[in-house]
Amino acid sequence: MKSRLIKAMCLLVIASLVFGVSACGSNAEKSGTSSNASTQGTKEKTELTLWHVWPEGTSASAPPMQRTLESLSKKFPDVNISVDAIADSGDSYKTKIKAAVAADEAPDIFFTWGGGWSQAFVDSGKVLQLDSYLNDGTQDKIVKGTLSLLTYDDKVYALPTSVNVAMLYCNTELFEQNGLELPKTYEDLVNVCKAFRAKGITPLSVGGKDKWTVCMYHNGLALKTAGAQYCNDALAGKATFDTPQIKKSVEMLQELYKIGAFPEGALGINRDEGNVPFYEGQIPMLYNGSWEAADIYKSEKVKDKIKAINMPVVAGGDGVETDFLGGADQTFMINAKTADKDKTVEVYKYMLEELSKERYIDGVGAPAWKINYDTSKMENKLLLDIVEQYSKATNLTLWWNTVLTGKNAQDHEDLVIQALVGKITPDQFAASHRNMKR
Amino acid sequence: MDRTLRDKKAIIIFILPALIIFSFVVVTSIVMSGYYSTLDWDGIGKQTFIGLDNYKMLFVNNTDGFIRATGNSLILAVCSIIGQLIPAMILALFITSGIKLEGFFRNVFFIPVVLSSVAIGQLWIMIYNPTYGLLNKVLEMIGLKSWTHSWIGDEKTALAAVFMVIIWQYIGYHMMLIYSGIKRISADIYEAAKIDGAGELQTALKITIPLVLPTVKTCIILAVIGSLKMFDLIYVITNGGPLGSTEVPSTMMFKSIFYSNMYGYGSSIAIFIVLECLVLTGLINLFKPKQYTY
Repeated sequence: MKSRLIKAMCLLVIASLVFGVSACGSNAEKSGTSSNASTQGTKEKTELTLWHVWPEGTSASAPPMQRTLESLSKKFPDVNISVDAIADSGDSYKTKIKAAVAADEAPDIFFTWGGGWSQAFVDSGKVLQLDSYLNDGTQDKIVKGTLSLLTYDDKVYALPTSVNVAMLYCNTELFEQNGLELPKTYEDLVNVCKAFRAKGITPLSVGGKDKWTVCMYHNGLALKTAGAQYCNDALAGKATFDTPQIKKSVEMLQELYKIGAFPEGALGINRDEGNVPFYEGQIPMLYNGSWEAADIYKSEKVKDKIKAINMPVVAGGDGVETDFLGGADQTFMINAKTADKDKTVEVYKYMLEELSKERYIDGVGAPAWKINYDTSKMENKLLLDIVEQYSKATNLTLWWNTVLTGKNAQDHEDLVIQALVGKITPDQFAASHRNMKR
Repeated sequence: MDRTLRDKKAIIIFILPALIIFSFVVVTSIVMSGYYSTLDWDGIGKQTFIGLDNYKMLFVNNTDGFIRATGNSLILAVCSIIGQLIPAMILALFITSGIKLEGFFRNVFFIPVVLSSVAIGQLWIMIYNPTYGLLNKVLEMIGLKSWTHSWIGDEKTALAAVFMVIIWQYIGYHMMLIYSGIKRISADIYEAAKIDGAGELQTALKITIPLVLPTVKTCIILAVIGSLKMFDLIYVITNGGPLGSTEVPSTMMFKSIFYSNMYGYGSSIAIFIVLECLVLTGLINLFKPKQYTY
């Protein structure tokens, strides 16, 4: 009797476990999406799925996206959009979207990066080509030059959102306290770094474990030694990387490392950890994208103390003051297999224009669409200043690791790190880039 | 006769569900990976058959550090055997030596095994931080400031730093296996030994350890295979850096597939890891400790 009871109990436990696991399995599929319900419950609704990288509460880019989605649902009551958002920390979104596109499970509209990053998507034919949809005046609404990274083989595959440019953010209070002026040339920058280091202050902020943060410094230096146009040509395969100017940019990076401009153990801390001292007001300079402007404006310790300047020019370099590192790299693409192409494109165009505006309002990025927004209402003076500087830009080149494709991008990042610590010479760096192009 | 036949049917019926799942999930995946490893494919677009070229890229004139990564995983395997099994044996002997809080200690030592690797990784990143990390702060406090390093930022110390964490996490696991092996030894033997006048150390060396050697062999196999496949802690703590000093085959496989868009190449790394594990397991199995029956 007792053994029968025990057997029955065991069977019950096993059955409930199996049931629970299978229920968990099916729930996991559904829990990934949260609906943005539209106002009317008609049966003729178009269903669209959307993925992006700004979940609520994660970064300054989240509120603009939320407001865009809200205005989307108001403008298109006949469209129901299911949204799934995960932040791209540790490249988790990058992995997810690549796997999804490969498995033909990509949503209708998904966030991605322009340039070489999406080359594989375009080549596989899994994203929608947009040229035929742009003849209704959309082209005129877009700022000139922002489509360059989103055009593949002269065909447009995505529309831009914001233009991100890299700026050297300087903590003016720390400069004043130490009797230093903001650097106007590279030589100034070296002297300022040496002065800070002599006082025990780490001059430049970087998170070397996230290699792209170091790449920004190098790419910014190359921008000023070789000039934006030359960098663009080299990245397009029309010119060689093996020039004295490119090699000089590597020498300069190595010089900064040797004088102790970067934090100790920089290669072991990631970008978020690397930013902490800057946001605490302990490190005076950070060279990173214009997206930082929003976070700077929200931080308590450094809010009004930061001035953004372009990477200083180099004596004898080909880069000018108005050459900027940046571009409209963040974008969304449309799945070629989307059910109702016209509807999806309509929603897409509206979304990107709105997003561009909302991101500008929040101070997260310079707009890539021509919008008329009363800037006196904008609070983030830092971004306004950046936009003003950028509006005088004569040429742009994007950070190389997004322009280059797959393995080349990886190798470029590794080469920058190796060059930084002196493992390879500038000659070797230039030679290794020989066959790299978008 | 009847009973044997009936037993066989019962055996097949009970094994079948697990066997089917195993074949689909494990065997099919390995076979598909083997096929993909002969392709030049970015995972999304066109596939081109290139035979064994991926393997040639891995071993002949390799430029992306794969040989070094394999070396790292083999070093980890050896360090795991020494660093995990010896403490595991000592701890297992300790908790079976008749102390009062046997259950408590057993659970405490096992806790790192059940903690999420990501959580452990984040914890140790904080400990190893050069400016405010616990390790450097403690060294400063006890006057050893010259010993402070940027543990995971310096390519000379990163490998050892990461291995410490990996080895630390699984000591409890091996301890559990050895512990259950020790528990299976009949108490009569110990009594006989006591009567013969054997001390604690003698009992441990001459009786306990020889009798749990089969379990130790299992532990060795698990430690080696685990080391060859190790991914999560390395990915979280150093991501193969700095400068590739902590790369192992599995992190390289991940990067070549998801960052470099080289799916075929990554698959060939996966197949290599499988073969490596099979070969080493076979070699370890050749060592047959004396089976004592009592």
